[in-house]
Amino acid sequence: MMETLSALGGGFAVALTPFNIMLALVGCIVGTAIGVLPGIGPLNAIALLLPFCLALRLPPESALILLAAVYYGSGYGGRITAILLNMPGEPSAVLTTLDGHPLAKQGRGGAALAISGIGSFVGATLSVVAMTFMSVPLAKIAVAFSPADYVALIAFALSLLGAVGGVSAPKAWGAGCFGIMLALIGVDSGTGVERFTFGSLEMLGGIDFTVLAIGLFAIGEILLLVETTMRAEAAKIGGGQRLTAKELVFCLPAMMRATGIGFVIGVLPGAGASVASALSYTAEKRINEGNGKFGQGDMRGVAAPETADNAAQIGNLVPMLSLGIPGSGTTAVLLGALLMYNITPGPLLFEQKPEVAWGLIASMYVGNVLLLALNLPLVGVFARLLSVPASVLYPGVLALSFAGVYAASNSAFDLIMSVVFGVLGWLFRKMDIPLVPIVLGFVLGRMLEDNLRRALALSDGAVSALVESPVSIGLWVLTVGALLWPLFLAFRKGRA
Amino acid sequence: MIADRLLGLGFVLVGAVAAWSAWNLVVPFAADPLGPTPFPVTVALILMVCGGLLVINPTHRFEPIERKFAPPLMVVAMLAYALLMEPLGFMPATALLALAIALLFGARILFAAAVAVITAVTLWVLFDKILDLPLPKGILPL
Amino acid sequence: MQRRSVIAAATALPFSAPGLVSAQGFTPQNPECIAPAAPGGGFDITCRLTTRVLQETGISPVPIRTQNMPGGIGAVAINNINAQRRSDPNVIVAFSTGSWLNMAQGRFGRFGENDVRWIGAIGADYGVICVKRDSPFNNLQDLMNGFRQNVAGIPVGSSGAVGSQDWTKVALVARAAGQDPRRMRYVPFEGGGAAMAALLGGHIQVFPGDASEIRGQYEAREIKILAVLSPNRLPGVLADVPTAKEQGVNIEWPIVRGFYGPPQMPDAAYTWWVDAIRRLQAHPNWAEQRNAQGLFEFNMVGEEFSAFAKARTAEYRQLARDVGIVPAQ
Repeated sequence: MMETLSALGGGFAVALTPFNIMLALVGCIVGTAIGVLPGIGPLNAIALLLPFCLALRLPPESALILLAAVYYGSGYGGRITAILLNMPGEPSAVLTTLDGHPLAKQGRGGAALAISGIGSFVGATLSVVAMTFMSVPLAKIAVAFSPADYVALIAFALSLLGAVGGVSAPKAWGAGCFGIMLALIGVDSGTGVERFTFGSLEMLGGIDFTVLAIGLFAIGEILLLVETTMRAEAAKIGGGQRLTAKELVFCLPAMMRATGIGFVIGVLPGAGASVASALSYTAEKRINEGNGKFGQGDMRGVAAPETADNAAQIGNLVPMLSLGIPGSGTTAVLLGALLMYNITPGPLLFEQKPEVAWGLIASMYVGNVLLLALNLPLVGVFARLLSVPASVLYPGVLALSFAGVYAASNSAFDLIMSVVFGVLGWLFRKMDIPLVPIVLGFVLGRMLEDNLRRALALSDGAVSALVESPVSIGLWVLTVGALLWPLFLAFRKGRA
Repeated sequence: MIADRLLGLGFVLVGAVAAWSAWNLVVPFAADPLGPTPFPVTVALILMVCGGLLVINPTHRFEPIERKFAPPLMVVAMLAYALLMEPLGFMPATALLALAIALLFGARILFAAAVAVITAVTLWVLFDKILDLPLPKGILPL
Repeated sequence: MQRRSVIAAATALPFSAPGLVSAQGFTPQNPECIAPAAPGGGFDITCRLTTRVLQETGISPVPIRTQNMPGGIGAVAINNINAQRRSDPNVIVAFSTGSWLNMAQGRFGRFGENDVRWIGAIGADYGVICVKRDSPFNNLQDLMNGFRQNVAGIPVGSSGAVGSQDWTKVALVARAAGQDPRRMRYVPFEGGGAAMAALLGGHIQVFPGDASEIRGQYEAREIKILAVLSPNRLPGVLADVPTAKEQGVNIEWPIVRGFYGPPQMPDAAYTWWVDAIRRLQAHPNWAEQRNAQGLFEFNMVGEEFSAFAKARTAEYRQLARDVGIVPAQ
């Protein structure tokens, strides 16, 4: 304990030099901006910044402080367009649209932005604390999580899918299955055969999440809006904007639960921020069954996924720093950055390069305070986005989305695919099909199949292997409970 | 009612094509006990059941389109953008797209043209210059 | 003036001094490096870092910009240059050993090793065979004996599909043990990090990774490395790990990284690019920059390299047929 604190103190000595504070600030600003841009994610941004760090001959700890700030800063940016425009800037912000956008329509966009900013801060900061003191044992638990455990975890997440809808079961489940089918397009990693590519080379690598999300959300939304030109529905700027202390207290339990869920899931190398935000939103909705107005603008429906998203992002750094194992594509690039400084990421990093490891951890305390300080005063500025005339805002948003897709892929095919998904997104809205299950199916479906096949390959086909560990048994019990809970509620209602 | 029926039929059709396609996969050798077929076939069957339920028991009406001409025009503009990006270049294509969308959102022509030019130039600077992601120059002598 | 520079160029011909216009008078204009990956992918790093050094050292008089072209695991890029930029002198494309495997397995459509001009390699990473710290296997022969006892009894896991580089590395070991690689119990993971986690967690027993990505775990003695798949021992932390050859097993797996040009790239341009890579390899700053990319020395350019690339692809094609990844044609 004392040892950890003194090491952390050493880290703060690194993180609190004016130069490194400035770098963290730059990283936070860039990260927030990247989070807002729909086509470009933190992975891309870090890759683009890396050559600059090398060219400027930044010392390794400074480079890592900058790049990591871009990474966790992006978690603050993705929510802005999700809440105000119903267009998530990052995959993990998809769930935020469910309650965030209705709040914005009710003229409470500013309050939704504020609660999500505070949630992000709480989730990230508590996770950094957990990381400071429990990094090594947590990483050990993370590697012990087997493919069979992942199967149970994903099944649990999918079992909560019904909680998202607010529409009839065939629609919610049909939409989820449709999302899963989209995710299966491409080369199957188990056997190397091509599935559902129908001879198209572009489809070999599968459908890019960005293309799907921009189509379904951004283009679909704008097609819906263009029908009525400018129904000034969201422009109630002014009265009732501010977040009240009462609302904040009301959201605190949700934030605590979401921090736990998000951090634990983030630590697992095979899951990620999208799973974390989906699980915490749906769990929150199930826990508060019958109380609250989830789907129509509940503050907790914004706080939960945003808190979990940032907690998971920090959690993802645990296996990276303590074992040298990247938990996601973005952390893999961060690890690559260390390699470029001739630092070997691995279990000895804390011993060999304490200034890098502890400097980074300390900088995350600083960075998240900076992000909160940056974001809260800007809430009003962001919310004013809605007072921009539609004939300026939507051409800009659409062109920005397309530019992001094209710049990262140089593929007109991807542009056309996003238009196709845009038309689907528009039709689905007109038919009252929820979009979130499609996205969750897309993210979770592939993970479910991959882990199911891994688990069965490891057990040589024995299905019993799926329920061997205590973790998986516990998760399966929760899954069955989640599926039966609505029936139980209906039964009780029928009796009463 | 017709909307749910159509949607249900769509689900059934997508599910049928997917199931058929997955069923006919030729696997060079069985690398894992499950293989690439059972999971997609199962999901496709659930999709078809959901579709079937919607056909039998439709509940929702297709929401009427208010300005019937606008969405198709916007789709045409976006497809034209995708096809013109490489021959015309990023800035002209983006300007044309932004012009069309601004007009569809009720802007007057001069205002729309200003929006178009500013959008195109800003995005060019952002992506090509700041982010260093090259975009097609096309017809412009840059 | 015009004539003087021609004479100057002619006299400079045998030396090709740095910074000067090369002999045939080719100077790249707005050159581009196509990375068949999104920003942050392996090819993207190859392009961005290498072109930066080319410019800093003055080997290239102009900046070379990186263009990302993911899609179809590299298929889209090779199709694009064959369809639209067949004779473009100003474009090069990053590739790796994985591209050769994809060509061999027909995953790039109708395009193969003869549809590009191979410029050169900038370096190579090498395959390694890892097991957990407490594994019963202590060397490659132990593992091969294990395969002989029951090839399906040892779970192997890595990133990449059946038929990918990681799969092929261990398939070669199984084949050297006289076993059918198709019977291996291979479990694909989402990236090398997830596979390493599965190894440390004891879910898989063997992880055929790359030398640059496992150094940290090896240094901490969390894992044992049974063999490096390189012609000679690797420098640095891995110097005490024997090669497969030392253990009597003739397997090498260099993950070569480098560039190719379009199929009809003019000779003058091709010579310029080959020369640029050769000079890069000879540059005193390059070794450090190459190490930063996790690459070991692997210097081969021009015709020699072209022959090497074609031989490798043919070899992999035969291997794919032998083990039944693609139906024999």
